Amino acid sequence: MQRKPMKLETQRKILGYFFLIPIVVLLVVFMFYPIAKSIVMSFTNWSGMSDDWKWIGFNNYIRIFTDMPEYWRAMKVNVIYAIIATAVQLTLGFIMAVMVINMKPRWQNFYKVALYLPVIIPAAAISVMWRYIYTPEYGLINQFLRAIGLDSLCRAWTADPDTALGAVIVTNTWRYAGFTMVLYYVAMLDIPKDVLESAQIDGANRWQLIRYFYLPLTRGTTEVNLILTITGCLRAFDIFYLLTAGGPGTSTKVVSMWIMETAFQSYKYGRALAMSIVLFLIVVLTMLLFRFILAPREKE
Amino acid sequence: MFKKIVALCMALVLVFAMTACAKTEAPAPSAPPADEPATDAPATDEPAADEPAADDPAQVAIPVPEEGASLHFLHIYPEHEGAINKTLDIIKRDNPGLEINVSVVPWNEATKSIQTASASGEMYDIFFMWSTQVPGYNNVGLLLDLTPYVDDEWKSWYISDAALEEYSVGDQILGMPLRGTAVFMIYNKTMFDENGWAVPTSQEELEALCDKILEKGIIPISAPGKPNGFQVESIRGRVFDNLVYINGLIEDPERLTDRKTEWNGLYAQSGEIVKGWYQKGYFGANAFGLEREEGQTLFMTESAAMLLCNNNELTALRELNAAANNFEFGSFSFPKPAASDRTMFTQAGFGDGWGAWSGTKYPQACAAFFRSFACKETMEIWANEELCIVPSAEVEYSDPVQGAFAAQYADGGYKVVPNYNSGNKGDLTGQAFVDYCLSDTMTADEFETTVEQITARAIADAEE
Repeated sequence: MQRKPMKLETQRKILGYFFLIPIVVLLVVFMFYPIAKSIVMSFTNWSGMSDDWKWIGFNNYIRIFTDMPEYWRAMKVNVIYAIIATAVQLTLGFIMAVMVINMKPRWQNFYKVALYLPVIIPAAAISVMWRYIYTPEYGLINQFLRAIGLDSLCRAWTADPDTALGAVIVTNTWRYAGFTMVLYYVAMLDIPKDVLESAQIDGANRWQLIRYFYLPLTRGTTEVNLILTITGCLRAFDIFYLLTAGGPGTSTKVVSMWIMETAFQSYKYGRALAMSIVLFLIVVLTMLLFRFILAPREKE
Repeated sequence: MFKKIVALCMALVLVFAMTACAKTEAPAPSAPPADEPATDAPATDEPAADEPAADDPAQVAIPVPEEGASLHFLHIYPEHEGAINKTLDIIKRDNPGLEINVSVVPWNEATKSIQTASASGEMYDIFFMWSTQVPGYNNVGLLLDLTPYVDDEWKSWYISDAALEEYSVGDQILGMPLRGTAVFMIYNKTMFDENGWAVPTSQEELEALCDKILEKGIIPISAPGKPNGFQVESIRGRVFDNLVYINGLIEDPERLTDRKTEWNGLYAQSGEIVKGWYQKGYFGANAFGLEREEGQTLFMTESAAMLLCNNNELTALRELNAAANNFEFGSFSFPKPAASDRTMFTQAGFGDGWGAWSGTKYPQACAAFFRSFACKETMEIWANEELCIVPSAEVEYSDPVQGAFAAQYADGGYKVVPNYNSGNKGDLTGQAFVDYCLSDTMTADEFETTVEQITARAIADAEE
């Protein structure tokens, strides 16, 4: 009996699945397996130093929820940081995008690059630069304040618990506002020019264009920006570690720092994993919450 | 049907990948029984040539196995590369057949490197560690028991019993000290002389001096307080030690093992004194925002009259001063209160040291490495070329400031050495103190209670 030749579509499907194998393997090895292993090991007393561990059930999780006030204090710092940083970053990013898109093309190119530049600078360089800016004796901010006669406002910006978190937020906004701006800018490019021109002919002013065109027509981007920024803030580590090291005291100590200390100083890797899983769940829930809040409006 | 076959193939690939990542059957290194050293050498009925014999007088020399030994050595001293190389040359000269592969990481990456290496089973044979890490590393079976190798002659090389005790748990010697770490005060002698300021001999005199310096618009003490209070917390520790001594608790066994959770106001008192100093401006407004190098800069630019620093900063400071050639500096130990009859120096200890891996193939070669490292010839390199305070009793210091400072290490017996894995307790205590210093509402008693709770939880954690 003669074999039926394989359909072209079937061949294509096989080829498609074949091409998928490398990425599936990579995902399994470097993503799914570590996540699964982390979840499993969060139920153990693993020290992280050897293969010796034993099951301790939900002990790590019970400890987090009943006897780890510092974890929740740090979470509070994360949440405050996420709320303020997100609001500032989105507002600034949006305003900058509106300004850039209304510029002449050659200025648009210049500002797109200039405003995006901080995104690609390493966190270590950014923190060193901003530490100099914040230094009380010879920092830019205090020197400027002294120059304009506002000496009374001079502060040790990163060493004062009232201003340290604000200092981190400013640095973070400087770093990422360009990223938010680029996403908004790309979304604004999709708004048909003739619609905006018609509105202007009908007498719409700049504010009305923003209120009735730019804002509603970039809602999807707002959702993406919101989720990216909030989840980024909840997982924040590098800029805090490098700029304030969690201080002064515990005023800017974020959850990731506690996780690191638990794993690398107390050798409680299992507990650190449980702390990470709790943080992961909070980030996922926050993301789902925002999707839930914003999704129905998208359909309207 | 086709989709099912493809799905099955994909599932097989996933299972294969999962299996490839699964734990191997290789035995994990574990802590050796207390009475025998660890070794991964092949087990035979005959005693291995590399096995130590505790009662054999020949072990004094600690021969390297005839077939040679290759040790992987991790250190954190790129700034002392010359000393490291000279030391390794001496070790190799004294131990023919010993090959040493060197890895170096920044100090703040050491623990992570060790943890990663240990978890992967590719552990360093000899590695840097702080003395405070000994109980924790021992708990997870990481450390080779060196007790059988350290004979009385070797022990006699050390400046005090405390030097080895810092690296011991119970009767087991689990590591080797390298150099001392403690804080002391460096001052701008030129500035002092110009203003007629005298070196304070008591805590009260220090306060009076700081008030005078403040009147000149100069920060009295540059004490970098980042992270976790750092040198400001260290000052509180010095004040606290003196209070502990005055109250007769200096030899309290619970204190010496860091298990004391009832301080009856001593923590509160020390906190209150140093918070008062901070509020008066003795350390400058930005003390808690300054890192070590920034603190040094403040002193070297003459914005501060004194610098509380680690003795291991001495080399860098001397180099900075030689380059700028702007002033002469002197040093003094943090003064005692007038009510006390002696200066307590309990924070002095040999915090930087070495450990050997319990799973090493060459335990005896590791011991030979340590023995050569601890000899006078090597220690003199570290003491006089690198200006370190070394644990050796035999070394003579060429630098008088350093020599005077080193003499105080002989009192190291009062140092608190936790006999449990205290984890990040030190950092938490420092953070609590900074929170207290910067708070308008937190009381000194609340600070003390917080510290007591931190200690109690650290102990409970370690015993969990």
